[in-house]
Amino acid sequence: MKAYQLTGSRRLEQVDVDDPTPADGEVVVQIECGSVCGSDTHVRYQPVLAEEQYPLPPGAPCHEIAGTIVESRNPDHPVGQRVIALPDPSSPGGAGGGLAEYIATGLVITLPDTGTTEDWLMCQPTGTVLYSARRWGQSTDKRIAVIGQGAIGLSFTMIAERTGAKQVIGIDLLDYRLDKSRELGATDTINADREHVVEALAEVTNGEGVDVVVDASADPDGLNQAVSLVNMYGTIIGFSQIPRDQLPTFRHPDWMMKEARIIATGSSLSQTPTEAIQTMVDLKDRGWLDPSVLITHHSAWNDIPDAYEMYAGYTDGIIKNVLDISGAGKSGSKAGAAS
Amino acid sequence: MKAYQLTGPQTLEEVTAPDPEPKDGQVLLKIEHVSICGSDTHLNFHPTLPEEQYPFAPGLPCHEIAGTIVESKNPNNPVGQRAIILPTFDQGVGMTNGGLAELIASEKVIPLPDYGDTSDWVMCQPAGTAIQASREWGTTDDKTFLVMGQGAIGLSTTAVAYRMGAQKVIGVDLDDYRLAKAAELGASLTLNADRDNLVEAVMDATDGQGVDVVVEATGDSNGINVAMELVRRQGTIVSFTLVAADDPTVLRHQEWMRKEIRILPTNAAGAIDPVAPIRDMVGLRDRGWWDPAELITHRVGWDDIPDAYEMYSDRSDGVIKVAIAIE
Repeated sequence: MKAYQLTGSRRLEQVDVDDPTPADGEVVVQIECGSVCGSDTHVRYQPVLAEEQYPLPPGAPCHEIAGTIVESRNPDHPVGQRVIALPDPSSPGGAGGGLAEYIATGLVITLPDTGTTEDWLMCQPTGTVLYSARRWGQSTDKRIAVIGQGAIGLSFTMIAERTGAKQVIGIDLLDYRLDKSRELGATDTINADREHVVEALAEVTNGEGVDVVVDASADPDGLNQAVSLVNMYGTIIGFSQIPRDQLPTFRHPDWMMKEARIIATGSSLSQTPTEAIQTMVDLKDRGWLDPSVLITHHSAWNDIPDAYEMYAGYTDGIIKNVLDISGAGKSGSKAGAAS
Repeated sequence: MKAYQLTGPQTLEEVTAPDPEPKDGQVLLKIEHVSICGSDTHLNFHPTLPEEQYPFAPGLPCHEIAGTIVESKNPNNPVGQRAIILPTFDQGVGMTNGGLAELIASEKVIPLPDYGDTSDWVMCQPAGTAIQASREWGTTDDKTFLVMGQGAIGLSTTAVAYRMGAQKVIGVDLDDYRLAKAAELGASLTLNADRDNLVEAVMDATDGQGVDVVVEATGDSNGINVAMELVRRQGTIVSFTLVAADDPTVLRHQEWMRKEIRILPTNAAGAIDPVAPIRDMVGLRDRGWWDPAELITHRVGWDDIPDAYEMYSDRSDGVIKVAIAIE
């Protein structure tokens, strides 16, 4: 099958590799589309990793994947079923990734028969946010600030609004993301580049402050910012993935003074990585929240390296990019040629 | 001021009472709209109470009240501000004033926005109790729900759970018109407790497990025992029901222990901070999250008040919520 693989920092190359074979309990999904996540670019695509980590396995880095089952060794998931597929680190054939024509995995989320696959795919990132948002508990007695209004931060904003938060404040450096934030449910937004965030937050909350701060900034200093923003006894939800070589100094005394709870979340690492995404699919199906509003761009198979550059560079108003993986078979490019 | 007061079972009489005087920290509200709650009729208007409880204080029984502040001894609540107000409360006696009157003095004030009719805003009072209940059950999108009793409180809870992303809401009542409203507000399955086998139907709908959360809003003293049959093991029951003194609950203790059920009472009026969830419901209506005014089925005036209490008590004429104008 055709695939991309990361052979160096910011270098995605097309390769031809063997089709995956499913283990017991697994299915093979013919991938229709994928999407780029911040963790793909910040933690894997962009940094210079240790030499021995290259090349990444074919298909990586990409874990937001949807398509149709073409081979099944799992009676619950028959051939022909449309699914979101999660790469499975414990798979005998390796985790694989979305930048490839096929993936073998035991972790799939069943999709309804209606609607486009790319729209349903957005339930993957937003479902992981649903999982994390449960950690702050009830929303109706809380004011919630979300640092970073990328696809993940915007999903937090939407979920906080839907679950009845008293106030939802989107914080970002980029105005186009703050515009989107207000459009999708933020009651207030703060541009951290232009405004003094602590003062601005006090102003928009009439001095009440916020009970919950979500760090979805992917900024190494995001957790420290969250500590500086949260109320006494408040809750911080950590979602950012930070490369190991960029780990910041934690402002321990500030944290102690606030007595804030810090909760790290990562549904893909949980015991039930598919549950919250399946719940998100059901919630989209009944019209509760449609995460496909996050899609701003589409990229053809041969333009995938450009799509990663755009995502890493925050250019062209990017929020969420759908990668046309089904185009791999139709593309005329030669395997192994850098595009 | 003119007022109604309950002088005997199902007897509301018009009286003239002295105008209330606000104390320090209180405001005087000119009442514009009120509404009837199930507890007003089931616990107060309808039953025959001990003789010494009559007559009620002028204005009672009625605690869902909105209007405009006309005198203030609280700098946070200036004259001219519109508000929902809660009656003053004495732990020994209960409510000491009420809404079936032209004026009321209290310190429990929930400011309202400047737009919209107070008959619509007053519905944030009962709906706020559903917000309070939701805080008992915690997160919503990871749970299935069953709401017993689809009166105004049950329907508000159905609507709130659905809007918060509940995986499933099952509505239960004895009246089909209320079940139809429950379906409209988000219940994906409705059961008529008169006709349907509740346990069978609920187990069918939940893979034999029962629901994660039962909200008990029937007003029936045996409701909590039925709830225990429908909730899953280690599930949660949130109970709104206020049981009359002469009709106590005999709790099925063994069933409760066997299933390790958490039972949480939610008593908005007697809560430590009854104002907060109502204030937050006003904020949610203001930003368009949910409008509890869609529960209003009847709009009546001052002279219709005794009939409105009869109608509410009998569940006649498809009544869910009555907005009463105090002119």
